Amino acid sequence: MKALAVLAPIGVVAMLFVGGCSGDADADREPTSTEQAIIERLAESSSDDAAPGETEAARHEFIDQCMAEEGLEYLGPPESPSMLERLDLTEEDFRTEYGFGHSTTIDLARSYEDLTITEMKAYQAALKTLPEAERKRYQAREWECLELSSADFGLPENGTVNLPADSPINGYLDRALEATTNDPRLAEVTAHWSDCMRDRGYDFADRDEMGLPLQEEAQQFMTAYSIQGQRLVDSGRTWQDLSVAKVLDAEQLAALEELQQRELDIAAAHQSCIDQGHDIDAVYAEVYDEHLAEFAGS
Amino acid sequence: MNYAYNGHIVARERAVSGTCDGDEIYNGQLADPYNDGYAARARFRDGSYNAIAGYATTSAWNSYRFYDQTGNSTAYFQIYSSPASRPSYWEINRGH
Repeated sequence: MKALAVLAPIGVVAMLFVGGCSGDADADREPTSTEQAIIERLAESSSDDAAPGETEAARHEFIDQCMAEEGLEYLGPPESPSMLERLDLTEEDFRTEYGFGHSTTIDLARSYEDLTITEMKAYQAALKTLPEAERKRYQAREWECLELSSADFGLPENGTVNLPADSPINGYLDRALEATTNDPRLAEVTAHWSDCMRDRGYDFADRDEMGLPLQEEAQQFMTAYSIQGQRLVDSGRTWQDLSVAKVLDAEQLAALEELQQRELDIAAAHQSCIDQGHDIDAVYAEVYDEHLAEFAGS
Repeated sequence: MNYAYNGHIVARERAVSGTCDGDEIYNGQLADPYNDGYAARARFRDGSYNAIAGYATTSAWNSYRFYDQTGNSTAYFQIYSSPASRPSYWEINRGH
């Protein structure tokens, strides 16, 4: 088992940076020493009061130092900030301005996507400046440092949770997800939220009933924006310059605006129910942390 | 792989065993374990191709398929959910 603990970080490096076709492993195994430390950290529940941003900054600093111990300069996390982070908005502010972001961010989403690709290419270019042996050493050490950071700070709050496909920690996550989904406290807050939404004129059993049809309806406009916008990009325009108003025709725009207004109205009702104390996310987070701690500690 | 927001998992993706055989078809599975009004999605970019290939709205694994567009069994792909959750890094899917 000792040898596994040493080899595991190197073995999973490829999976971190080339997904899909590197994630087949599915065998149960004993946790490595670092994984054991992560499990113990999870068992402590989320008792620390640090804001996610502070934890993330501390994690970043930790990885920076961890890499420096091996004489490596940390290139930063390979992930891009979320659209919401990029806009520097709280969830509540985002909801006021963009609703859920289904029909209201069609042009923003395309620019955002391009930006994340540009950032990814810049990251890869920086990695490519390293000689191959050094690059492998960098990636192995980065994985090791990421795992070590999870032992100190818990699993990442937002974005990719870097775990090997055969990590025993996945089993704890599975069990916590299932237990949370079936927890009566979640059913209770969802029922209260549903009642609250009904009082405001909307009949939704849960948030998927509220959001998924809007998302599906928005898809036709995303497709139209993408196809019609591509013609303009091919003739020299850039996606950054192309608002939906510059790409969609009058009939499409009118239909989109109707959908956007409906989405904003529903989002306002939803926010009002959260303000009334029917906050499903908050209850879910609390219940999930509790179950995760329970399973990790068992 | 798991993708988190607010410390809990909002999207999951895995390759179907045996899909990494260089036949230019990627078979994946996607799940959306969190009832938040957003589907989990897998977007692929390959040459000029840019589209959502995978879509999931429940915690059950939902199979999807991506056909390589450029004949090199390599494409960028990204998993994402709501605008608040960070999308995964654009990964290079090699060998499908």
